[in-house]
Amino acid sequence: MRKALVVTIAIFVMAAAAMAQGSPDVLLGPHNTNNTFGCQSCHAPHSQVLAGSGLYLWGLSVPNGTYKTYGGGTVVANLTSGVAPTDTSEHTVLCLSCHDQTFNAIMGGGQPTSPTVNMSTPITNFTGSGDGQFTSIGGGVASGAFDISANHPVHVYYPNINGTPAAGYDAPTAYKYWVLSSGGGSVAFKDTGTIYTYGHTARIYTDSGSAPWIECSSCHNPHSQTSAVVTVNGVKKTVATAHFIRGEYDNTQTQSAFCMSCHADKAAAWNGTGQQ
Amino acid sequence: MKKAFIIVLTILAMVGIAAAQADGTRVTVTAPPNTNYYNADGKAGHIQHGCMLCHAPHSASATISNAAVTPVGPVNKLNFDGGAVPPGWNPIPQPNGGGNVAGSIYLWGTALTAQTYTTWDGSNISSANVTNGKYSAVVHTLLCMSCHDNANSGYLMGLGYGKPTGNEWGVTNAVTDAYGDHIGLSTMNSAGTSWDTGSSLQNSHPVHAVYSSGGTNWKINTDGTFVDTTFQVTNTMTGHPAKLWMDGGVAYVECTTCHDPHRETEFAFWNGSAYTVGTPNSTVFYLRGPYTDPTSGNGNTNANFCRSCHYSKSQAYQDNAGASK
Repeated sequence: MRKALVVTIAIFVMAAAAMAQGSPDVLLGPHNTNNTFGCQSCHAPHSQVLAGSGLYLWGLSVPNGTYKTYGGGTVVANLTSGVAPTDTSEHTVLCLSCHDQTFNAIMGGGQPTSPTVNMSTPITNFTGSGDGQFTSIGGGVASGAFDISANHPVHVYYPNINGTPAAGYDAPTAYKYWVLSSGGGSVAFKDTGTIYTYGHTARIYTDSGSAPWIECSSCHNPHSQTSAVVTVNGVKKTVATAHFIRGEYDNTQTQSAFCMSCHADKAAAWNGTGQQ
Repeated sequence: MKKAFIIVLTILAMVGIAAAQADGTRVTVTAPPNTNYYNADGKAGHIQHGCMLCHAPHSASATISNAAVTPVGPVNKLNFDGGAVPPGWNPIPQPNGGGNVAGSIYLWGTALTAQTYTTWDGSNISSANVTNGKYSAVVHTLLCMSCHDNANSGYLMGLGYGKPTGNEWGVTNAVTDAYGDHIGLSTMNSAGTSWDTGSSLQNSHPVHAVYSSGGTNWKINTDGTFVDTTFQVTNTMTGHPAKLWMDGGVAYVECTTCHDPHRETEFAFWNGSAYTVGTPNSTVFYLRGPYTDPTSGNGNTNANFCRSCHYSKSQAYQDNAGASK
């Protein structure tokens, strides 16, 4: 009888401990902070930190400074007074709320720190996996700017618009990329997957001047870690992915293919004209 | 013995009456408080005054707040006096040619706000949008502002109530209170003598926003209910807790799309064939579906509450390859 009581108590204790640990979320993965915050890991339904519209009810503090980007460019993280509608940089800067360990130490190995988080309760004991703990980002302060230049270019123009090089690119460089059929508000790849059968699942952001930009969330969808809904040759389907990638990314072939969905010159289907 | 018992009962009853009278400002409609509506955080919340916190069964107000012109003091806006206009409030225009506008809306006992609010996408809403009484979807936002805005509230919802610029709680100020006080939206002029007429809801989830059917949203019926009834809110519950408000054939998201002001910790939502009623402490923040404390609760449940509207963020969207559902 006593043994049964002890076992029962142990079960209750374990159950309570399990409840206290929150609940994993398949889609959000480590973006479900502490397994308890859900969408509130990033979004604050009634307390968007920054003034102005279009900032996704962002509930976290954001960096305010200049980042060096790959190739010598910069992205200015200045959203404190609202982001201009002509700007697409929020699709990079908001990610840095967490992913710049200089600004926010929670990504630097999961230390139990209390970052500057403007939510009702600070995030503590971040339990994210290795995904996202790519070494920030903070190393370049001595240069006068935060440094993310060791990462894929962000806040840069997509090179090829209707076969015309975007500002800062020459034709030989631009022609290495699949062409965007439009530089307008609804930018899309000209090839929908008939030529490059893996499709083009990256998202290109356009500003009000129709210029196409590459940002962090061009490749990453922060809402879905291991699967992605894609449209290839007019057909919608769900594919396996990893690292919150926006397209299929589950073996060496698809991993290469995702990159080639922009980088045409690496694909067998490329003809070198800059018109595909 | 029987006589003594009656005397004791009489004394107890008299003591009870005396105790009730001792609290001159509080109307206790349930004793003990119904835990459905009791605030676990210990704050007064919606339990104070019971239903009469918002509703006046025989004296619904026909007034609109004139607070933008004259700062109101901490007036008790419950019209116990039969509908007399309290200081600081003026009669409102009657857009339908007569009738009590605020009063005809859920027997609302508090004046309707006169403020104009800028919403998340930059558009404005105000009492001018109330053209069809309670059938105007926007009232499901504006009525909340009767209290949840400094300029209208006699209940000190914002910590900066009555304070000059710099101390008020406006859109640019940090928010530390998750329980509603933070929506002390309006700001005062620099002299502290009047509320600014424009107020901002831009740091909040969109309200009076159209919810279109299909695409990245769930498909909805013409009555604003969701076509799908299979969405797994939790492992054991299906349905869509959110309530959309129809107005002229268009479905709108308002404050009470997510929040049910009548149920703080036990939700109830229509699942397509019946109501799903939560157990004690099955939600927080007056939300219409299951939700847990974000600091210690169930992140999956919390995310699913949002996904019950945001289809494209749901597992169902992945499972259906993005097809409308």
